Amino acid sequence: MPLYHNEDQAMLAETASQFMADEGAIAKQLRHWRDRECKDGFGHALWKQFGELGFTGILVSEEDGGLGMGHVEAGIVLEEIGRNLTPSPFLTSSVLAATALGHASADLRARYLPGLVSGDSVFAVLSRYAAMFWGKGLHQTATFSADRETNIDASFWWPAVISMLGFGLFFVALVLIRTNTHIRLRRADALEARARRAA
Amino acid sequence: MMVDFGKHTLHIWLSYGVTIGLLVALALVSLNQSRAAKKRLDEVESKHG
Repeated sequence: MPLYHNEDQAMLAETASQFMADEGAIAKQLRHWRDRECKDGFGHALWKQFGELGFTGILVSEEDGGLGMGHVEAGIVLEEIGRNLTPSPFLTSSVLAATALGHASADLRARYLPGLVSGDSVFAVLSRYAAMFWGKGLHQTATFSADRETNIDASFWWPAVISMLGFGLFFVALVLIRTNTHIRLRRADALEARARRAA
Repeated sequence: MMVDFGKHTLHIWLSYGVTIGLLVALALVSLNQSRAAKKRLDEVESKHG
């Protein structure tokens, strides 16, 4: 599992970082559209620029006109979107819809992917579960669960807990040893001083 | 799972090594000082105690 970017990924990260800091900055996008009470919630011109830079087709195969990259690369772009709080339909369009369409028939791919890659189309994703209840007024919401049983594998916890306990015991023992040393030295000094005074 | 640190492998494992080495050295120095302090106190106590 590589924890570092290769050259292409580093280049993409630099491009995305500069672009998002310049064009996707909070003042230019988030506050701008919020203050205008924009119903879409994002700038279509920025989405078009996403298309020109190739971000929209990052997960679309090269045969379908995209860059044919992977989810690590999509994650790099999302990281910069998050860093700048840039409102954009990247996650639903370029990640979810692009992944779904990647498994679709040639007809569907030819119909929808060019618009996605060029930045002319935007996609929303609705799950079957949500669609079932939408008409009844029960809307699906995202929730964050901090339950360690479901979020983090138990194999992560035990080494972490044992390491923390080990370090804790080590430092407590170290503090006790050094305090004990200090007390002994102070007592020896006091005894010598008392002996000198007595003499 | 063995994590692949790529070009940073040497640097990261070296950092782990230096950290553990320093912790061990700290423990040894503390124990040594403790023994020396005990010896000195025993001597002073037998002489003036």
